[in-house]
Amino acid sequence: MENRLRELREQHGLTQEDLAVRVNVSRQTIISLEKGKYNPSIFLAYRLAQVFHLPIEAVFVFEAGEE
Amino acid sequence: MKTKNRDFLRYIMLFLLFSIGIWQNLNGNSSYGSGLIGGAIGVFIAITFKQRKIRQMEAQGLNTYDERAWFIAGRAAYFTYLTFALGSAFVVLIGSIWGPPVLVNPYNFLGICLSILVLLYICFYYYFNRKM
Repeated sequence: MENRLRELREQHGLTQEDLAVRVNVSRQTIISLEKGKYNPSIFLAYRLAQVFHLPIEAVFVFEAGEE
Repeated sequence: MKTKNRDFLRYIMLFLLFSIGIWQNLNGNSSYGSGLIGGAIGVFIAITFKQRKIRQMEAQGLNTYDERAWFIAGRAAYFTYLTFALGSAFVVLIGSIWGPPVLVNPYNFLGICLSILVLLYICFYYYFNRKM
């Protein structure tokens, strides 16, 4: 699944570690998410979207047939 | 289980292994005893260093056992089981047809199986951690 995490994080002036602390995960998880190697659970996706004050679908781009 | 409880259980287990090692050394089974003592000390040192790093990360507010870690652990466990089951089935199949009958010490055999499982799990965990 594609996402806009890196772009949004940089817009908000956050480091990967800052974001990791805010959503209570490791920095490695943020790196994996930004690279698109790991798809988050709905809870983590929600917490990430909350940090940027955006709906989930504005952060994560889901396309049919991706499952 | 909380990190503190997990640490406590680990240290209790290591203490038990260390005690068994001393007991075996005193009973004349020095190779087994020394192996246990050496292993217990090695694991104690490794755990102490790892826990120190984890505590530093936790102090910074990072979650070291987050959902990605659990996801990787789950995948590693599944692939460990699959590899071990298929490998064992293959060995049993081939061995039953062509292999000579072998008498085994069940304790040694279980120890070897356990070592293979742990090694496979570590390899798969490392692999998925790099891949994801």
